[in-house]
Amino acid sequence: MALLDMSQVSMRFGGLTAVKDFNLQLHPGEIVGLIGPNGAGKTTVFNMITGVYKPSAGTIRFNGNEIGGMRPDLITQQGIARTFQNIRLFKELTVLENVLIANHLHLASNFMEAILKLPRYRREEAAMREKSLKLLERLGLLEHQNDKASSLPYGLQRRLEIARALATEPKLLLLDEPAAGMNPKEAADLTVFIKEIRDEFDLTILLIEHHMDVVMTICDRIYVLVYGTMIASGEPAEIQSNQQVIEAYLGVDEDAENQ
Amino acid sequence: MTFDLFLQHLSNGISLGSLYALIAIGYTMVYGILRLINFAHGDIFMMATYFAFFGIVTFGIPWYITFPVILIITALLGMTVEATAYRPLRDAPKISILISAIGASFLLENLAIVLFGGVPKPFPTPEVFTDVVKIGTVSIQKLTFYIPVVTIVFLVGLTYLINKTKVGMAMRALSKDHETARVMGVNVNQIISLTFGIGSMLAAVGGIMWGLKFPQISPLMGVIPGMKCFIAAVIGGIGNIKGAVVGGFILGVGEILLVAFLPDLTGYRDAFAFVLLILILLYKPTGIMGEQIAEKV
Amino acid sequence: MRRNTILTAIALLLLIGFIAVADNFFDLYIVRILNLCAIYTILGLSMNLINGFTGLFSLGHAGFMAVGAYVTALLTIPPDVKKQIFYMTPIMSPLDVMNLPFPLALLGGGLLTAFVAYLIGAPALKLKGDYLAIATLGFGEIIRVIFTNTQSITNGALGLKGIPNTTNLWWSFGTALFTLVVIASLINSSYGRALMAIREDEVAAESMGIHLAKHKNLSFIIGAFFAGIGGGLLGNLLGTIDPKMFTFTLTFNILLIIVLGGMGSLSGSVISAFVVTIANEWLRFLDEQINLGFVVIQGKVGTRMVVFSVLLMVVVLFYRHGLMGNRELTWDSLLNSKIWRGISARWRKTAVAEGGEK
Repeated sequence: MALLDMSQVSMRFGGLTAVKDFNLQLHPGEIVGLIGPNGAGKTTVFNMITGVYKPSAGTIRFNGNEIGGMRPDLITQQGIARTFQNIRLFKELTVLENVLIANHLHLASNFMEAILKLPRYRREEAAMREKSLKLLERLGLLEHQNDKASSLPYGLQRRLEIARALATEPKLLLLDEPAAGMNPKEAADLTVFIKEIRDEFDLTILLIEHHMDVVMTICDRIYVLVYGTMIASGEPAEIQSNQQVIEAYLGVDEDAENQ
Repeated sequence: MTFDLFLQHLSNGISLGSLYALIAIGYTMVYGILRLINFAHGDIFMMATYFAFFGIVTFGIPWYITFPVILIITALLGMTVEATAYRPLRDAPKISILISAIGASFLLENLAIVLFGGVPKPFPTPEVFTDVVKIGTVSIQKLTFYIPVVTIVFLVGLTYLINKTKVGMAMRALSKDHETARVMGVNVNQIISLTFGIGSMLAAVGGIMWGLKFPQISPLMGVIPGMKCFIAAVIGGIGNIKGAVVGGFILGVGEILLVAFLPDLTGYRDAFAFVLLILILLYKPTGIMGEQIAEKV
Repeated sequence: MRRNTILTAIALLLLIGFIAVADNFFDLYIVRILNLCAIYTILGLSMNLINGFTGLFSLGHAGFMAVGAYVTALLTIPPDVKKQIFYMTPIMSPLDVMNLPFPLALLGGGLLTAFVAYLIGAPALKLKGDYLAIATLGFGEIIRVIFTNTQSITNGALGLKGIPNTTNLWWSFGTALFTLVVIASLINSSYGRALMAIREDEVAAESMGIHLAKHKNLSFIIGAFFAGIGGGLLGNLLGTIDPKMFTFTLTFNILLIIVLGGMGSLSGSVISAFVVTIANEWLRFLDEQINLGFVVIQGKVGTRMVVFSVLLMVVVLFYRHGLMGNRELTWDSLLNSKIWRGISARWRKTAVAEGGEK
């Protein structure tokens, strides 16, 4: 059974249709790419999966449960986490705090227990800290644990966003342009890193990316979105040779067509 | 209730609504461009009435000279407030700008208390405005007719300015996107300043007519009308000038009719606007004519 | 860790000693100002929780205080006094006979305020930024309008008189300390981090699994609870309250405190509450006649608020982060500060020098 199943999903803003009749299936353990020119509606797809937008039509099922239009925090609770295209860290807080916050959804103690620092809360807080530190260590951010998130260099901020998403213990991770602003060497490292975390944390990953090297190396399958409509899907090799995709990316040379 | 009486209430409601509309436009214009409540707007309105008072009573200048001059002085005051309280915080967090705006509002109110005294003053009312006209058994002040007419004249002027002039085009561009407007050669600070100036001028028009209608002025007289007119702007759809006018009329007429039909609730009159605000924000936060702005994620 | 506990204990003992001395020996005017300082500390801390830590720009504090003050007053005024005060419209039952000890009345005031905040929060907290500001401001006005019109409960515009002066330094400072400890403990917990996450970025917070409405309400309700208690303490300090007391000016003063102290700093709010309250008294001469012996300067009513509005604007325009920004004054930061290092270095030097002489 598919982990995520989007069927005939559309998103309209007033008169504008951002995404039309979109279908997508993700199977456990897959890394799938979502590509397309700017403004094609890729991030809108993410926003619908994570509940930021309520789809105008269609169904989104996660683990068999309908999640379309559900509150974002409840969707995260079900096991979907994301990063953002324009990094959205908790800037004034420390790196450790950023990750700790992502643990909050698992907290069983209520606020009175937290204020009174009752034993259960103390235990949970200690466990949360230990887990977060371990995660920071794994992602190479441990030395920065007490730095303000906004003081990190750009690349590490992206990494912290991934750390934060992982801390929510997701089954499905959505990465919105994880390689944006990276040089080829960094991008290559990132591909290794994404595969590693997929295996270590037992994840399914859907990513939006413009770096074609990254997409073609790590994705098992790719969906291509143009003007809100999916024009192709398949394995990287198929997509690379798909005439429609090439046209969408390179534009159609009208003279050439007329000849 | 007799039909005559109803007519009287309705004409009162319309003239009150016109006043609300004039002040609401100032809020909506500033909000459209800066996405910000100009907390000091109600106090600029108050200052205009004092300027008129001093012009006519203290200096004995005839009203037909005083009033136009007041419009310019008030516009300058609005531009000064913008330059000191808003402009330095252009790139600051919104919360800082709001606090600065609240500071400016308090400063104007308390300056007025210190300079003009806390005791209310009688607003001079030339007879041209207070003459009474009799229609059947209903007697209505001429002013009640003048107010909507003046409002319409200024509205037409404003609509022309916004839709047909270069300045108006720059304003519309700014309300969509500051950065792009700047790149396209719009002098952002100048246009924002002008927007405050025009908004304040309309507040002065409203203030003068308010003074004529309710001829008692005090330093805190702008607080409640200020809040109500912001609410009118929200009801109509903030950022939309026609919306501000519609909202102003809904609020003005609604308030008068509420008191007329349910006299038991007279004490709650000032709460009416806020209840309406909360309802509107919950069920149609973009107001009657506002456009949907989705947050970019 | 150990050192800090000891320092805290010492500071606490000093505070208790100070209150004991002040309570017995200081003149009434000073005691009253100290009481006000403590009450404004409570108000500043509670507003900072909502505005500074959670990032909700709420301006309803005066309304919350009004609820707390009226409830506490109505529960503590003796029944026979109530009969005298409500001479226009008799007070409705069972309020006419209800009478509770001060601490219970105070708690009741806080709880009812929290309940009111819960009712308002459900719709209002869906709003953001300046919409929330104007809605909460409106709520404050609505409360005032209601209190002016519900004659048989609040005595309308006449207000309540003859409230027992039960607020003393022990109560005000004790409550302020309690407020500080509770809010600090909340802030330094997973819930506090969630609130700050909401302040930093709502969209990101929500996608990290934080239930926005629940946490915003939590902050709003806890803030309102302490604002209600602050209001109760204020009413029972002053002895009379009426709806005109709880205008936006009151909220403005608290806003000034948290902006000056630093939005997001508890210690900043405490320091600033004392500074603003004392300045408020000290600047009173601006509004009144100043008699310098040889010349009398006529002060003007409103001048003090002019100074305060200018102060607020100057802070926001030039020192946006206030005294403390979002840092806190802790024993560690105190002992590491330049001033303290300077003092202790000089100490050591003299100690060494004296040792050498021997």
